Amino acid sequence: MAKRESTFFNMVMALLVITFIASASLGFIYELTKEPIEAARAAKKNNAIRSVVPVFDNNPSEEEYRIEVSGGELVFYPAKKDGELVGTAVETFTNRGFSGEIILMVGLLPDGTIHGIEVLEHKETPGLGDKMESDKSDFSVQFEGQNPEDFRLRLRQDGGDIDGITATTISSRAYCEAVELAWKVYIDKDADVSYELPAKEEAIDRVLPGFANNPVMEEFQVVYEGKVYNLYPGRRGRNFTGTAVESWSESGYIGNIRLMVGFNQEGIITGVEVLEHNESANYGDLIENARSDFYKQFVGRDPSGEVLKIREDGGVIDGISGATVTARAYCEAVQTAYEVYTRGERN
Amino acid sequence: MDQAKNFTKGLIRENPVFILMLGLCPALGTTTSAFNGMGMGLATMFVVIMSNIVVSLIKNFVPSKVRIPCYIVVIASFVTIVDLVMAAFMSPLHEQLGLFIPLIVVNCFVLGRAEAFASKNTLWSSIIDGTGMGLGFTLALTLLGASREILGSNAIFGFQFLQADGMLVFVLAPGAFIALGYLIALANKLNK
Amino acid sequence: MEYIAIVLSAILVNNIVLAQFLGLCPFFGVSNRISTAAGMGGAVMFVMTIAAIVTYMISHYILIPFDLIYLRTVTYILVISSLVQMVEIILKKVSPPLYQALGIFLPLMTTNCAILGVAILVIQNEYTLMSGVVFAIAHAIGFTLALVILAGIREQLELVNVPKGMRGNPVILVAAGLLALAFMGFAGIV
Repeated sequence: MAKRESTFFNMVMALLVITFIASASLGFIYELTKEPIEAARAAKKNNAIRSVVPVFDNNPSEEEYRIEVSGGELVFYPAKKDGELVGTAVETFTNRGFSGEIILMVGLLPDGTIHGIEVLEHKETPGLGDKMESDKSDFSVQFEGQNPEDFRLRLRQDGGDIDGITATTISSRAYCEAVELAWKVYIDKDADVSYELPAKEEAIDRVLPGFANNPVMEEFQVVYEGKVYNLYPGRRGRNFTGTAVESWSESGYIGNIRLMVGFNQEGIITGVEVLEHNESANYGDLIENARSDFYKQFVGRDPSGEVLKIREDGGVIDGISGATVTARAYCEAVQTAYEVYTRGERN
Repeated sequence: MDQAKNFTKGLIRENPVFILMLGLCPALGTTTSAFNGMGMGLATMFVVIMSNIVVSLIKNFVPSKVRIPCYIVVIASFVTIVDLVMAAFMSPLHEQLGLFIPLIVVNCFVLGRAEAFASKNTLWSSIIDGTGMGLGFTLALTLLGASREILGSNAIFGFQFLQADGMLVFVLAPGAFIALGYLIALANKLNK
Repeated sequence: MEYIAIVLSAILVNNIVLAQFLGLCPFFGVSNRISTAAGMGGAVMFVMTIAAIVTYMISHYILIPFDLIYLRTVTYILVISSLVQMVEIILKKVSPPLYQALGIFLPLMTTNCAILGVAILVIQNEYTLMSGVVFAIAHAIGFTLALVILAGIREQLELVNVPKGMRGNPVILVAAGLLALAFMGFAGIV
């Protein structure tokens, strides 16, 4: 066949046809390989998680959460068996490797003990720094089963408990730093996430002063403005020490806020606990006793003489900035508890 | 042309790496072990054969003034296919080879075969040429990878034959240059 | 500070030729004279910087928004080769002296894997445009440095009586290896 002439039309046509066929076939191949590529990526991560935490039966990637730290963020993968937390895989990093970033997956048991470590990514020198990979040397084994609480994550020459890799001080040091970062953030965060709202008994225990009976057994109902409330009397011998009132407000920012409020015989507030709420994280949830001291403003107050409202509404309570509606509803629920306690009619 | 000669010329006499000094970047960059070298060689071989086939098929439809861009698109497409397929099914190797997979497209020897051979010859001899050249390239990379792995980590294809630290320099960048230098000297000797 | 780290790392620690093995064809091909080596270095810097900017734009305004990243290799190489042609034509018209200095090297750019390699690395490292430009220029300087040093060594080598079997390419490769060994001394400074 004769060679095509290099006319303008022929050149444009040839280029157009070829690029069209090329991009169409690439699009096709891309669609074909898209899922396997995703699967390969997920498998790599899951394998790393699996090898650093004890046996689990959930999908940790689905329950991942992230915490920002300076220079990046850590990703936490909680591993659970039968719904119980058995360990957390933490994707951590350091930029202080010999050739830049090192990314590790550190497995921590719920108490902070290191269970296993895998290297996800690094650019360290082959033959030297890459010995930190778990299949190339036993370096990572020294960390296993150690709790950084009483195990110093530093190289021996830096006054720690880790034997560095020969001729690879910088990589070893960076590795320890990344592990320590994971542990520190985990321990700090742990206090936060493992906090759960108290059950009814526990809340009563916290808001009522020195009682010896079982208030839940002596629960009674009170009707106030057409609604039924539960009250729990605390007694020591034959003396009443106080009463816990379960009350709620329907004007929270997101739904109901349910409180347990304790009063002594004089009607002075002895304690407040949040039983239930749906308020926003980091704003409204500051009403929880574990997250801020907001509740302490109510303890020791006498609602008959003091206005239990936030200052903007002419009261004596400092609101929570960014969560006015929530704070207002909380005050309302405390006030309701007082009314119930003093004016309610026994059912 | 004699097809047997056409096939074997790439192995020694016109070996792309040892004699023509083409495609040196992947030859040095990926040969930290025999396995990686072989993987890179096979990936390149696939691209050479496939682009040789397509170029020899389309050579009469492409006006000569735009032939280079057309060949580049063909090669780049096959490179992308290799890239995607390896990422999907050979992800550890793909990670090791990294940047050098997309860079097959600028491997002078791939475009060189398309331009110098496939655009002037029949389909059949283009296939033979691509296979021979690809094999020669794979052979060179595997050899280089093997010698670096043997000297650098006392292992071959991942099998550790001596439990001791090797001469680390051969795994590192300088060793790549030096090992290739001596292999080329050897190939020159054999070629005489 | 970030820019200083990028520059030092690109020129000394991760030298594009001696540590990353990119651009080896021109490294061995045009390093027989210092003057040609410098000319090649200039041409690489010119094209590499422009290519990094253009491919950055294409990546961020076309490929990523339309989820076409898999067409990266095809588009980049096409863009780079047409860019080289365009630079050649423009240079010829606008600045004949510059064209005289760099002109003969420009056709070699298309198959210089350093250009495409740096363009891809800028995207992979998720640099901003400014850092990307600094990264490209620094890599070009590193390339020129390696090229000029090797050219200097080769000019000296011509006067040396090399063993017969090692003459030509083998001894140049070994010299490059020793150069790479010297550059390893910079490791860890960033």
